[in-house]
Amino acid sequence: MVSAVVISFDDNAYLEMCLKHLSFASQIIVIGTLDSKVHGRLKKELDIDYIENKNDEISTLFEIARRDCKHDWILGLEANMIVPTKLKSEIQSIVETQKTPKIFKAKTQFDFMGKSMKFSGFRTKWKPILWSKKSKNIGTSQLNSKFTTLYLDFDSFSQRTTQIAKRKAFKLYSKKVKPNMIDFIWKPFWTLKKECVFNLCILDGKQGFILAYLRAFMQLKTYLFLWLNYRNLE
Amino acid sequence: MIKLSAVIITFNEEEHLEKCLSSLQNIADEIVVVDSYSTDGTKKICKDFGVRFIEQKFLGYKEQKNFALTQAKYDYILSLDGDEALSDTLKKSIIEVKNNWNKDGYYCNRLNNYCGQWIRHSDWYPDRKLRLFKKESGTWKGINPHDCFTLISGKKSGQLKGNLLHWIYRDYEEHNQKIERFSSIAAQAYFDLGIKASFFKILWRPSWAFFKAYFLRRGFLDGFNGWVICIQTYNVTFLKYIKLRELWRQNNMKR
Repeated sequence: MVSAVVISFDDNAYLEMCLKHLSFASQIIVIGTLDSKVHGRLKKELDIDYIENKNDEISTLFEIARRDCKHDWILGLEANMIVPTKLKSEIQSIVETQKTPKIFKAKTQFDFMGKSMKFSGFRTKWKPILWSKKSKNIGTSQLNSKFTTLYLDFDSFSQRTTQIAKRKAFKLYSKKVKPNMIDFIWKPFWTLKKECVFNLCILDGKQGFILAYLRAFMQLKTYLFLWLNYRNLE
Repeated sequence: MIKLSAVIITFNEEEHLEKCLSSLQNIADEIVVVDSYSTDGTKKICKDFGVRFIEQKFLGYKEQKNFALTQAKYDYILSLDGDEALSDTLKKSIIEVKNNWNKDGYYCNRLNNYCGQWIRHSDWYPDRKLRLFKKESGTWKGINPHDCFTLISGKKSGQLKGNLLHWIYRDYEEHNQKIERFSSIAAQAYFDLGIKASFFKILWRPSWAFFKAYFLRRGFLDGFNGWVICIQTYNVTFLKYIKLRELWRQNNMKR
């Protein structure tokens, strides 16, 4: 038996797709923020538990949801992540057979603008998605199957990056970080270079470059939002 | 002296509409507001000013403006948006032209207010607009959302003194939302025209747009806001071509 925890930052469009692939979970908890209409509908259709919490720290949200999990195994996802059939089977077999507590990581499959991203920082990106309630500070294992990062359309993707930038800006603001010209000019260019060269986006061709650009621009937006946070105080 | 109809298209314009309508007092002989079913106080403001208020479902920018033209009583038109107003110099200039109308249309410079700052450089100034014209001398054309009044070939135009004041964006958030929306509208318009988005265009056009706005048109003289505007010029061009590329990809997948 597994409890699924899904984090939503008003990810209404993504959430439905994510939840549809979680029918194997005995309990589904959605935590974060969610449109009330979508919540009402999902509650009726899928019987989810919803915890409203405006905290933007993913690890904190998982920790809060953990207390409400009825089962020993927890599957932790963000709203734009989907569990395909292969991964589902692997998770089910772990839950049934694994006796010692452990954390399981999985790689992501990401199709961006019609192309499967093989590099673009995703090649080596492992994410912990399954753990036991008792598995704090215990070694990790890797899952063979990948989870899917959803790409609905360019608008939704772009809006999501803007939301992430806002959350990052707010986090920096709460740490009293002030933006300067280096943040505005150098950091986005550095991010573009880092994504293209070190994270190998360039090997994914045109789509890889576009993705690298969007991440660099997200960096710029983060500092613009941060600057705005200070400006609004004046 | 000619009689002048001021036509304004609106949607939720309560913030700036009073400035707009006040600036038209003693200039326009008739004011027509074509509203796309605003949900704020737009209707009430129009009633207070006693203007002719027509509700019309939004047809697209140029289509809505062409519709507004058909509602004007007089042959001479001053066309504004709800977030625009006439400066004092422009008012004087329009009064002079009303007394001595000798062209088919008149351009004026538009001065944009961005987050409380008047922007006097980059692509945003002089931002020439043809807003005073004879009704039958042309039509609203252009690729959505960039509509412009285009005179029929052979018609003559002049230039007015003074600025058309435009409160374009209150904050960066609003600018960002408009960029998302405008890039989608523009991509769809390009797609309908059969324009393709090559990877070269995706790389070159935004870079050129930034270079032109920031360096050639001296956007740097507007300080930090000038820099933000030029970066957003880059961004909107980039998004437009990426979205266009996506539209073509989806179109090819359907086949």
